[in-house]
Amino acid sequence: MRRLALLIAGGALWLILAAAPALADGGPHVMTVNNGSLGINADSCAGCHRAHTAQGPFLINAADETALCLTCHGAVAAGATTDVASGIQYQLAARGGTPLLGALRSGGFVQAAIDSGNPARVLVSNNLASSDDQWAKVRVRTDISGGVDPAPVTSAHLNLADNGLSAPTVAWGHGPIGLGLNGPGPTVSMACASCHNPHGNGQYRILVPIPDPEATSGTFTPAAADAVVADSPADNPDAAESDTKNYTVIQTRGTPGTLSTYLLYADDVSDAGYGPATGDYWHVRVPWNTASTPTTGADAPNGIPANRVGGFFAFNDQMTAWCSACHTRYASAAGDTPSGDELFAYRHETVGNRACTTCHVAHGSNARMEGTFSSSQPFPNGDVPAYDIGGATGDSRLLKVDNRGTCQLCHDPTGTVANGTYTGPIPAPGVP
Amino acid sequence: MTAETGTLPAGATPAVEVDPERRRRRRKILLLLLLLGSLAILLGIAIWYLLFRQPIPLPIVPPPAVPAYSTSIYGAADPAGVAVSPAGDRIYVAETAGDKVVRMFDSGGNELGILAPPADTGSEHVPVYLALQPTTGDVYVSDRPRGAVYVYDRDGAFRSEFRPALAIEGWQPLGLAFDAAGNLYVTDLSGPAEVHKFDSTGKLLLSFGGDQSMSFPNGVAVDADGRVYVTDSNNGRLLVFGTDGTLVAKIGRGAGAGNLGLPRGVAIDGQGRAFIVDSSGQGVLVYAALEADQAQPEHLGFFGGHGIANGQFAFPMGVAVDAHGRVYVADTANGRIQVWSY
Repeated sequence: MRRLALLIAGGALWLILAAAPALADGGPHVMTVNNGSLGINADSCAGCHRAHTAQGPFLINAADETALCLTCHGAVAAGATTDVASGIQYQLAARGGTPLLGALRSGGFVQAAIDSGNPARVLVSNNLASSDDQWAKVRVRTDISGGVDPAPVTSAHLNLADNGLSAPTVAWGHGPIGLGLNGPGPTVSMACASCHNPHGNGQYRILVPIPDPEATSGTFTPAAADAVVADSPADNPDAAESDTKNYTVIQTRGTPGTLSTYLLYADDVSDAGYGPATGDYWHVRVPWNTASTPTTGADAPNGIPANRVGGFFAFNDQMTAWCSACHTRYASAAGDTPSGDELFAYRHETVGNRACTTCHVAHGSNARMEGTFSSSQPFPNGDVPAYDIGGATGDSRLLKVDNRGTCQLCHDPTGTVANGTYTGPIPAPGVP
Repeated sequence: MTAETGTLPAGATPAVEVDPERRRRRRKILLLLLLLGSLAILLGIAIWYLLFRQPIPLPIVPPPAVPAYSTSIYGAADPAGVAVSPAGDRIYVAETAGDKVVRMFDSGGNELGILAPPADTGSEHVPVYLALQPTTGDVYVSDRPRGAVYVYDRDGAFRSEFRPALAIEGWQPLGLAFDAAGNLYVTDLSGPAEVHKFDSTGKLLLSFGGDQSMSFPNGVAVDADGRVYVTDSNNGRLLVFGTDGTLVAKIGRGAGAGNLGLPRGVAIDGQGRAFIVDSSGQGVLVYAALEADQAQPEHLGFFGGHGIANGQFAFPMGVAVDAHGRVYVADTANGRIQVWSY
């Protein structure tokens, strides 16, 4: 009997270990396959590389790195569940309903599904004092049937033929404090691998530890140290189902105190019966709730609970540090302290819950900049690109809300709104 | 006789005088005999030729292994799937950027109309692959975000949504193909990826391939013997299944001639040749008709190469063939349909 028990236990352990690769990043991005620790016989190399007949750098079998990525991750999503062109996420396995799981938090490079014109907030303390307990929500853009409804982007981290953008390809704020008016940043050439490691690396969203776009003019100096962005924990209670993790999908509220109902993972969201449009782009507090204590019932977007090492604030700090590897001079501990840089003299603080990704998306935003001031706001180098994309006329700077409504999600500079006042769509309790 | 006098010398005998008339007759007889002889010889030759004639041997030109570039059709943004009527007079192209509709062209590349689902099906649509019903000419279109297969008539009017008679949980249809009998084959990304075979009423006849650990099977095609060719895209394989769904042949991933990188569309022409689009390989691989005892079809050649010139591709996806030997390839990132012909 003991032998049988040992055999069963051993078999179960083997099954878990054998399943490990499938539970990782998926596709060709599985770190343990590509680094050879599971055996030096990876087949996936041949999917993208040629040893002697490569057509592009890094021995890839394509002349255009981004186009190679979009072959799987494009609008068809013919080889991946993540469509970074349209900003939508597909389900990995049979879950019923439509194949759509939700919207990408990062938006897409051609379209994004941010309901940028219809955000919500509840003021907690006007933000005139030291508190910043405003609760904000920017929902997923939906069509009349309730389905995800992406719209053309008005800014993106890549200028592509399909998005029609022509923003200056400047790494804004890159370089040390003190470069002055002539140094808004070097112009760079970006590609997917400037930010992501296609081989997998255990980082959140397979982000490279040191972003390193190629400078086309000026000097781009890569960060000297790794910008670590911790991935979600391996001991997720629903690990057997969490092969898609929650990198890319909406996050919704579950039952506080019960990890598995926090809906941190793609499969959790789907299992809970939430539709693909029930998401939140804002993530000042994740998930959406009205808890007054930031660390209670609030998890980081990477799925790490706030009370764990590397939790909510640590994650936000990590993200800000990562973005600042390129946008160096945008990082600020205090908004009212002069930086000493002539151009970037005062900067909005980027600490705590004021992370870069609080206000901005990484891939692209469909927010509309049609107001007088927002549509004509120049870049730090003075350029003012104007677009005619669905009626939008200005570059949205990857912001999540139309014009500069982003400011109002946290701030009431008039001090006239009573605490606890909701503005915008009011989410029902417990519903994301 | 001297020339001066015209008289015979003394003692010479005079020559016999030949009758000119007789001499002429003799010449005629000789000529006649010669003509008769010639006629007899020619007649003999003719009789011999007619009795024993052989065809004149001509130099044999081997058929080309791969087609040659013919022309391109522009007007669809980032085309993915392509389908063509047997006569080649209707070409349907799934556009995955821009308006994200199916565009219909004539053989001259002139746009005839668009195929789009009705508004009540939602606003987010991406048509991907197409197949033509062989008897009705109806156009079946897979829609990725909606997880649907929409059916249009040959002129582009929306008919209905194809649904399995018994719902399949998480149904994510992608590749589509018909066999000659009108049965529909669909690659399904939900759960373990499978291929489903339906009859015209939507009744599920067979599901197969689930034991092959397929990853994002994109293309599907059926040959004259009912064998089903499936591009197991992310695994870089072509799998050929028999009529009962068992695996009978395959082609693997690799960089060598005839191996695949990222196979997407697949089509089979009237001679049984298989055309497989290798999206990352920037071209189309051609294989001979699969023999019954073969574990892998014979590789005949490759056409394409990366670029923007005529005959070059940028991440192509779909492929279709018509009855005239023309091959239509969706040159996705170049935004055109390339037409190649034998």
